[in-house]
Amino acid sequence: MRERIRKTLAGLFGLGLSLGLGGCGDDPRPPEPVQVTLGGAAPDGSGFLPLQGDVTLIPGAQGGFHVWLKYRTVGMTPGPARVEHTARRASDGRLILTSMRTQDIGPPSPDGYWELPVAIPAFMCPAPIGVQVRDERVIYRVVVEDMAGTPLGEGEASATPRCPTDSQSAFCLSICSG
Amino acid sequence: MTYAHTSRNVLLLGGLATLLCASQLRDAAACGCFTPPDPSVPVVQAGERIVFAMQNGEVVAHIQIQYQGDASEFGWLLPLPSLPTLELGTDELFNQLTSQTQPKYRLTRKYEGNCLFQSGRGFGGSSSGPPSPGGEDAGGGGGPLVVQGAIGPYDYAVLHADSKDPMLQWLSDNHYFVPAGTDATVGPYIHTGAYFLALKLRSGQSTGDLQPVVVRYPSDLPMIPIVLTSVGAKPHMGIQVWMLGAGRAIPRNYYHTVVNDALVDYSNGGQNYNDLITKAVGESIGKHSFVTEFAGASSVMKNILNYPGRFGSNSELAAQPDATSFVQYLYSHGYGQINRSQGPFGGGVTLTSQLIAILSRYIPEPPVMAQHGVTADQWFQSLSYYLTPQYQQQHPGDFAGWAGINYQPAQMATEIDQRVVQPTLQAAALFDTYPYLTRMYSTLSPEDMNKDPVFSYNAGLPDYKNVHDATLTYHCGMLVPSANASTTPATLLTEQGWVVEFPGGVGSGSIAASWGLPGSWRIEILREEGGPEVVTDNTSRIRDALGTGGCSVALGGRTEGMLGAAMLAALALGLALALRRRGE
Repeated sequence: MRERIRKTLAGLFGLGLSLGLGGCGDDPRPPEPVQVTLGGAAPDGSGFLPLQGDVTLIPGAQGGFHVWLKYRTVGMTPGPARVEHTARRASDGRLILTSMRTQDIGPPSPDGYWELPVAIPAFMCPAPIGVQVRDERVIYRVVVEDMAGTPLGEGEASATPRCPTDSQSAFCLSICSG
Repeated sequence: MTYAHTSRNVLLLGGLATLLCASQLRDAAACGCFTPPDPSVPVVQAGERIVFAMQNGEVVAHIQIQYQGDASEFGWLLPLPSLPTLELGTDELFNQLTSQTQPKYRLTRKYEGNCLFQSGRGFGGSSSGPPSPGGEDAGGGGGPLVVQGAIGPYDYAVLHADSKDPMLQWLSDNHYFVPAGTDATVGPYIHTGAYFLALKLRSGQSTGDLQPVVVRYPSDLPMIPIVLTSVGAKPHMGIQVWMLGAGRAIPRNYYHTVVNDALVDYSNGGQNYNDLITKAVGESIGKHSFVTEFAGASSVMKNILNYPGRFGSNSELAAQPDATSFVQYLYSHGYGQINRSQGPFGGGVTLTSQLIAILSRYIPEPPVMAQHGVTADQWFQSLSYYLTPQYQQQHPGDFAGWAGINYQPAQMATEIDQRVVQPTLQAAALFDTYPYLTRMYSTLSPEDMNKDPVFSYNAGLPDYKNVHDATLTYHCGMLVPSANASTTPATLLTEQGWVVEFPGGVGSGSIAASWGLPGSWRIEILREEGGPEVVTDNTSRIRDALGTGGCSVALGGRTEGMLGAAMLAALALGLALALRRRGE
């Protein structure tokens, strides 16, 4: 009898201990994902604009054309992060660009977000062979990872790059048509 | 993998082949044999040589400036997307990269039967040589001056390229040479926010002072402004690109060609390589294609530029008591360049043109000696001999008009450190930073330079080695030996699996299939993900051509050989029948 009571008490103690520890330990829920808002910029690379609708291709790297990319993060611990950005043609998923950078994420502003200080020129043209970039809806995606490569958050936007209508127009049409 | 299956019918009947070989004994003759330092290395004339490294949205471009002409007419323009940083590079980076990743075509000879010519003496082969200079850049366009200064042997200016005329006018006013024709090609590079980098040689500098430049600028992908280059380009100008990064590099907007290796001239270590590349890339649309020559770990360059102990100590160099010991220190501490293309034990050390240019300002070679053909490198290599009183007494004429030595060891050491040591160590660091190296090559003529090639990466693509092996098998007689290698039937098996028959022997010319075959095996599109997309596959064309009739073999080979064999067979058959009838 005594032995049975002892066993019962031990079992209750164990149950209580496990319940107690479970209640007092780390929150088992996964951390909130980092919110990433992908946007664009003015033609000179300044500001933060929605990346949607038509965007004018910007003359850039040695005779190429790009689209400005900018992003804001919410809930990101300041420090270095790996940021992958890709651009795919919406119609068939063709990859137009993939690029990986290391970025120091700063503390959030009073508005609650951190914003990439300088816009990224996402290289569009010369387009890959057979992949028309102009006048095609393109899905832009940014994935923020920690330095070990674990995804923390991602943002996506889509827009249709258009060639400028100035003196660069003909050249743009020629190199952005795939 | 074999795509052609001609071979065995060449010999028809063993006995007849023996007879055929016997009939060739009279043709046995010594062939012209010579052994180059490395006969498996083809000569490639590269006009543009650029090393790109990509990291974190920044392009680092090491650009070799190749120029032949008067120093006063040297001018170099490079369009850039943003304000660049400029540093000095080193020619040695290009020379060693060329050497370490150069395509090599090796031929192994096998002997079946009794080949009298087998012992030791090969044939064919020709000397290899280093790539030599080709075209250069040109350009223009823009606005006012952004910044100007001097670096190493250059004066430089960075200009806004918002509009063409003011920029070209500024360059002209400031004595930057702008080649004719620039005006017409500069258009695509002129836009708001664009820049041009312009270089000219500083006063007192010679073309021997020219040295590569390193330009860093923000961009996702590297590009060669080849449209602008067309101004000063030559037909079929070579474009050699090395890409450093995390994985294999690809041409983004140019095709990718896999060369048909049956057309490589194996007798000469692929000396027709450049012609073959021109032919192969010319088969793609717009002639816009690159060939991958090497793709693999960048460790092939490990410790090549910065081997342990190299350069000694700058303070030790500056402390050398006289010109002779100063120059000797340079030679004994690796300031020169080891010529690895001549094998591990050959080649010796030569001073780079930059080093010679610096030394020549302080320890000039007597002009009379130069007139007598003593090169600057020879002058410095034998300086201790030339400067002995005995030599000067015995050859006073050699020193006529000589300004003498202006020995400034501290100044010389500083200059050498800035112009040679630091750029070399910086170049060497590339191979510690970036684990993967890709070498690509193409040739383009000015009229086809209408699309700037852009490069990217696809880490999923496999490595590609630069050494290629083929086997040439001689089919000699079993009973009656074959004495003449050039007329002995032979079969070439290439690395890609092509079988090329030489039923009448390989002759004294090239060991390759007919030039009429396609130069490209496959023309592909390489993308940033996935495998190659084949646009043109010449497998069946090549296989059919090599197939059964031997049409792809050089004339005078199979046809005549088979005719002779058939005649001998008929003769033997006739004799046998006659004897049999007599016996009856």
